[in-house]
Amino acid sequence: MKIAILSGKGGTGKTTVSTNLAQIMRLNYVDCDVEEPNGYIFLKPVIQKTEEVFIPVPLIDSDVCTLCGKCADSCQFNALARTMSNVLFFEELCHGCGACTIVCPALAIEEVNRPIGNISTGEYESLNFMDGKLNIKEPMAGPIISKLKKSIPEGIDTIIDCAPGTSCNVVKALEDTDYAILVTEPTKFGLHDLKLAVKLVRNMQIPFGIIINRSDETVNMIKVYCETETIDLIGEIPFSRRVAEMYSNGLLLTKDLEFGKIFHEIASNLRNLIDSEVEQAGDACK
Amino acid sequence: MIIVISSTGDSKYSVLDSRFGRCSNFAVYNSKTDTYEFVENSAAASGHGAGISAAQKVTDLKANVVLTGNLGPKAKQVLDASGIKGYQVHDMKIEDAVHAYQNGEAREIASAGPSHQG
Repeated sequence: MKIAILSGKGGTGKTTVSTNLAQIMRLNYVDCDVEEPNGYIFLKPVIQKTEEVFIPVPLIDSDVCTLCGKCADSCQFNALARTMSNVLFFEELCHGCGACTIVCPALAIEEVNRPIGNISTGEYESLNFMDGKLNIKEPMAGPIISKLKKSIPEGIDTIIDCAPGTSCNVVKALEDTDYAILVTEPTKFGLHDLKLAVKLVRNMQIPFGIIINRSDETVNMIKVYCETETIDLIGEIPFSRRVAEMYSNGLLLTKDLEFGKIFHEIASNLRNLIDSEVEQAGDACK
Repeated sequence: MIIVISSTGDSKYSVLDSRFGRCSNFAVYNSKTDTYEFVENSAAASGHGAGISAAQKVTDLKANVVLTGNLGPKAKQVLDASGIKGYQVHDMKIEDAVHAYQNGEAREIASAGPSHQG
């Protein structure tokens, strides 16, 4: 089973929830927020292997090229331009789809690997840890996320820490997950972006629930929203200076007595919700 | 001579669009016949690389000169490689922009402006 953690709004506590739940529920952890992976700060894994991720990009032999322009026409990402004197290639726009190579009638294009980031694999507390890292100034995280997800070992349940927002990167991380946890905060921005995230998971038909972080009132706009939309509230993490202090020191909240209890509660609610989802899905099959 | 102008509309009375990559139309002025043609800029809706795609279009239109507000670095690179010169013209009608260029009142765009301004 794969559980994805997303939020809509950034900085609501995806990594806090992901790392603490992974540790307390004894789950593998995969950081798919490859533009800024930070789960390692809290889980402190021993990294055993780091491998580069490449995308195939065109290398054009100008002696063979006839300047027909078919490659530029075929490029959906405007990474190629045929000028009067050559074909220009803008590597940061290339998605590595290979269309230009296929359409080139002169066979002037050779595909070469361009590194865009890397994937690290290791262990924390005898559990599997993985994260991806996009190189600085690279705009395209998709291939790293896809490769990360392909490397997830079968058999053990895995937490997938997603990027903020509802972009392609989040969609890629969410694909083929069994349950999604939406982490939010009781602010207008939190609610606004939560609604976008809800739309996304509903669209992808992934069962989901919400965790409210920095929860400081018995009634707040997120709870009201959950009620009107009949969305499961998995739990709440109280607004506390202690949380901020522990986070700033790279500590897991599960190491704290009070917050450890809160995460145990969240974990048990989560298990119940997932079990009932599985049951419902089973009934639907019958 | 073919002069291509970034335009906000499809008549010679339309106002010039100071954005190159994301203008709605290109006005194509043929000085030999003194006629205008208008083509839609399909690059305007591109997620990325609108300037590159627009410059490719201008190359395909066999332009000698481009009149626009600013050119980004990638668009400039494509136009340079095709030997097409860019000239800067501000907020005026397409027809007036052509006259301004012909009267030598337009300044040549020697270096690209910042990226992602359109």
